[in-house]
Amino acid sequence: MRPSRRMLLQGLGALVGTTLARPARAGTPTRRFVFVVSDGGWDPLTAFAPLFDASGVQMGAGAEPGRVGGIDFVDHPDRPSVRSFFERWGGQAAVVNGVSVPSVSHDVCRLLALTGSSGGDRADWPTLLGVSTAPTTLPSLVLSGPSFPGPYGVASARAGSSGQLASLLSGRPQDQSDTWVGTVPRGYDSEVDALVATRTAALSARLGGGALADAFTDAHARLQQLREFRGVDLSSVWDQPSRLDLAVQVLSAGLSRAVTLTSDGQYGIWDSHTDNDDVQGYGFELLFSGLNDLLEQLARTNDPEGVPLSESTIVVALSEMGRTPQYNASNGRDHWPYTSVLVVGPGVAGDQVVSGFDDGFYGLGYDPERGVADESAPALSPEHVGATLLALAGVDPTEAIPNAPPIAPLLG
Amino acid sequence: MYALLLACSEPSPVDDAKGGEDGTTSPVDDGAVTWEGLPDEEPLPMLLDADGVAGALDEGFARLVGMDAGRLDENIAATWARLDRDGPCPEYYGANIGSDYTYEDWWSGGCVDPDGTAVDGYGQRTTASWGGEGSAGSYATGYFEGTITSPEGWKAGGFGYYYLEEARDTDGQSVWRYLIGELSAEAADTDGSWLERSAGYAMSGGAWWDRWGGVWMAVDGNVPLEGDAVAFSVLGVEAYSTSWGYPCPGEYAGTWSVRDANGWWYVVDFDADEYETDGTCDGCAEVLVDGVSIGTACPDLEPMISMEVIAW
Amino acid sequence: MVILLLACAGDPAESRRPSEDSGAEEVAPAQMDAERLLVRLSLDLRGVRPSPAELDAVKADPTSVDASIEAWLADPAFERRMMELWAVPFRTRLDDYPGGADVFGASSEARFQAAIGEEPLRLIARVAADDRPWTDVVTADWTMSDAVLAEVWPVDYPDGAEGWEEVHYTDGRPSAGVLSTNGMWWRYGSTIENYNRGRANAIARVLLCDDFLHRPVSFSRTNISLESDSLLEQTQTDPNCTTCHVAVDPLGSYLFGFTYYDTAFVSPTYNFAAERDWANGTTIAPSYFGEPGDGLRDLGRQVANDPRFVSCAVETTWTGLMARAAVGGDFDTLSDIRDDFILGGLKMKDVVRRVVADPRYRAADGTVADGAPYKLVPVELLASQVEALTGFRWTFYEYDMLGTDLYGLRLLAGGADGVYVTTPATQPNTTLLLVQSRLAALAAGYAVEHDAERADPLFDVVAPDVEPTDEQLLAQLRSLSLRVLSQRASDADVADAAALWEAAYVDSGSPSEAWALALTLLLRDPALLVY
Repeated sequence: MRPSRRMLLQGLGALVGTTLARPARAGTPTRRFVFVVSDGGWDPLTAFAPLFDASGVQMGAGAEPGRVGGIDFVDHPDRPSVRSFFERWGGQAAVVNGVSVPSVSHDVCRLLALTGSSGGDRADWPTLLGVSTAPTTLPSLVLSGPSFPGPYGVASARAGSSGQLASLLSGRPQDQSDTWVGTVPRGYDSEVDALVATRTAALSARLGGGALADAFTDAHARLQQLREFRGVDLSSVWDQPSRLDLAVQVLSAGLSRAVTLTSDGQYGIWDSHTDNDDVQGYGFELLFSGLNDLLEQLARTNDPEGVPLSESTIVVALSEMGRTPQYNASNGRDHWPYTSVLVVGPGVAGDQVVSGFDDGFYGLGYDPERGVADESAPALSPEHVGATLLALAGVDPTEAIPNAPPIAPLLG
Repeated sequence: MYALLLACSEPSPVDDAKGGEDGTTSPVDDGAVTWEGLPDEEPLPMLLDADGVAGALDEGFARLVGMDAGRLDENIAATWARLDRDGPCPEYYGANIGSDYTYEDWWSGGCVDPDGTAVDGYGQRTTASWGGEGSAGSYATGYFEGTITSPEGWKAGGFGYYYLEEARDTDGQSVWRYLIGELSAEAADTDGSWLERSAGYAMSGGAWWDRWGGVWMAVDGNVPLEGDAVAFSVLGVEAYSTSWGYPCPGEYAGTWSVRDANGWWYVVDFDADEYETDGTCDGCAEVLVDGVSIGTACPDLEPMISMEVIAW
Repeated sequence: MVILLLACAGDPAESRRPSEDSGAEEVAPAQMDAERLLVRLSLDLRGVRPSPAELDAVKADPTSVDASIEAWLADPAFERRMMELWAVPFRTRLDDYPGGADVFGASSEARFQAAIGEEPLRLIARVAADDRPWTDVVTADWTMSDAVLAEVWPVDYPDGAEGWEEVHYTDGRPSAGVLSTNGMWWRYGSTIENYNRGRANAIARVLLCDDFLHRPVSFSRTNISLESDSLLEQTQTDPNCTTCHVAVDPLGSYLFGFTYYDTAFVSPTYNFAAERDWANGTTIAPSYFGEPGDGLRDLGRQVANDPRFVSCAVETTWTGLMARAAVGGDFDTLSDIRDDFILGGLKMKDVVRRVVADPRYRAADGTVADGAPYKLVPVELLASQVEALTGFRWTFYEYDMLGTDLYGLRLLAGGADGVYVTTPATQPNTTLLLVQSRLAALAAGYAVEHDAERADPLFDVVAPDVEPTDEQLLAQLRSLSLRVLSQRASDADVADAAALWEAAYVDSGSPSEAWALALTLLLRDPALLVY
């Protein structure tokens, strides 16, 4: 006798309903992260590094030294959002200047800035933070920009530059096919998912356990959760405001722990080899205006427990490299292996600028444990930044980043 | 349980996986067998002799500067220079700005010149003049971007800017003129055009005329050619008329190069300074290929130095 | 039931040796059985799964695997697999090349974008598949083009042809294999003041496995002036700079013929006149790691003569087939393969033969040190095996949905876009399974709809639109399992699939719908993603 669908569902139901492991550490504040990447190489001299007296530096026209509390920055009448950001959020914001990314290649610098290594095998900060904190369906969600999940591929997912993830989840795939495919049975996802779970377990056994087997099992479980996810339109990735808004929604819904997105810059460009002041000025005004909006939205949006996201969410703005301290023949600035990072949010000891640049725009030697400039020490590296972020998340950074301690002054 | 996540050792670092100490090169070493490389091959033959080079220099310069005002198929600068002329194509629209003496105009869109040349793009220029008792003058500066299509259908799309200044006497006659500019253009997309095989051309430079016969021209640029000589390139080229008092007036300076279809570059270095000590002021120079002389080129570039109007 | 997740993330190819404390005896390195090896070889060499007959044959005679290798190296599909292998280091498969079809007059944006990046890859693949000497990669006087690319490229594409053909550039550019292709230099551009240095490094990284940018840029606090002119001088005299620039700059000087003037920053034609623009730029004449050269043709020969070019070809092939970077224990073998490669006249198939015969490639499990017992199916293999099985290729407005990222799913399915993600995933993630699930539904529906048109129907026991008997149902499910997953289904799996089929049939009354669902299940099996 062939089984009925009712019998099928009853029998398979026991296999459905996997749960994800919970963190064992109690009392650790749940931290969430939004990474805003200015891809292409921003110019710290446009916002973060007021080096007006440095002999080796050409500052932009119209720029002036600015100061809000303990934060010195580059002020400009065309970029009011920079000042207003520090005025509103400076208390929980820290600028890290003089971070060394020892390369001048976009590809390599992205790896360095986000993973601390050019090897390509390490997980980036969003992925590490995603897997290290309380579990979610898609621990690290990339709305746009680079991502290097390293060994934690299962924890990282991309939304797709045209919102493809949303289409996959909610749409009818046959509506995105040139070829007519006949009838695609609908309404059997749960049955098929359950059978796939069985086959996944069989595959796992055949693989003899191990990382690959675990990844399949894990990914399948997450897929079930993702299918049940509702309420957020994951396709809103077309510009900076929509991506920032989506990041808030994703965190509010508890889908992810870390969200990565790119800032728009001027026409999508930060790599200002020509007309640097125009490009960077526009980009930073748009960026800081967006960060202002983001932080305000985090303050008025709750997490799944009903607590405002602003109490748990740290925003990190960074770029893979900086730009040369002097202009080239096209009024642009070229690649420079020192950059800045902006960190804002709960737990961050704000109202300060950490480390800096010397007169030649090289990163200053800095001792992150003592929190002081030290000529004999190397400049801060992205690993110090990554370790700091892990520490802010309540995670011991020494396992993932054994050779670079957190930047002590940033840990409130 | 989450402590386990990071308690396991990380995968062994692969920064050094390639084996080299700096991780940059493959350490797959020579082993027992040495790679000897490809067998030696005869180079492709040179297609030009010194006279051929001289002819190519003449042709190249004519194409570059546009000594004969004419069509896109014959020269470059003259064709683009038409964009600065007044009506009917392109048609400029203008407005006074700031004062009675400053005028800004611009054009955009497409049109067809009475001779069949089509223009499509945009451009802007600003002209200003000054005058009074005893002296007058004007300057014009502009830029353009667009595509010019010859009546035969040959196309060139490009971008350029220029600055032209002129002084006039009380009779309105030109005393001197000074022009600088740049032009870059992508090549034709029509079969059979002399531009067909090239990705385009570029030039930058300036020129000066005065009523006393003083002419100076400086140009850097590249143009394609056709035939055995496929390209012409000038770098730091200058020419002066007699009134400039140069040691060898009418002589040229700078590096002129011609490329043949087999890839050989023929380099001709004119240096007017040398003639003071050398003593031979004959308008000729050695043609060098990979530093070896293949003869002497004596191009006929007199038309350049004697022309009164620069097309562009 | 709680499933422990993310227990220990490590290299999936990591060998697991018996615990030192357990006192266990040393286990001999286990090699894959013939059937399993056949599946891996079939996917790696021709992008499809073996047929049931092929599986049966090798099960009966395991030594016949070698004959299959030879047959598949001669299969036209091997050329495509070589293209996909080299696509990873080349990184030319973008879908947002500048300009686009509108600017250049191509008839299809999607196909034009795909073809641009495939040109150098197809050249390489043709050299490999045709047993031409590997040096042709940088010396060939021909290239590859399809009909759409030929609408824009100045090539002698044969009238009436449609697919990829060997062609010649008609603009007279120098011959240097991939170094002469538009695809290469549209992918790797250069601003004016970069003087083709980035392009030079592309040559070094891709063809010599020597990436200058992996050297740390060490800026000691010397007074480096950033004025353009003195900056140029410093790149040639300051020891902090010369490590790289003394080689990179003269290498870049070969490439000025790819200087583009137009507003889209690219052009289909070669710029003879700009070849000597190095004289106005860095002023450094072309030379290849100290050996002077005259032009692109010289560059091709100099690369071909470089021992690193040969070593890199071996290492890249190894990396591609093993799906992992080369590790210390590999290098003796790679040197040996390199020797054979040279002695055999630089035929890439010889390298492939050696790699697929290696115990690490054939490792059955973790007992083989540095073995690769299980590999994740890369997205292009997922696409090709599903297409072969079902006839379905997922395109949307002609964009290959599994091969592009602007509208497609390549990145979501673990692929590399060559910009933000430069190496394919080695582990599955949620979005890969999601892509697989949607692909499965589409392909299954298509397969059921079009099966009757196939020369080799998937439904070989009973047509999908015919109500099967119980025996036919089970037999067809077993056959499908063998076709789709290369494995003989267990009784439990067959029973589950039959129950699913029945449930769908009861609901819809349509055997076709039921088969579409059952086939969807098979195509969603995670075994499809591992080989």
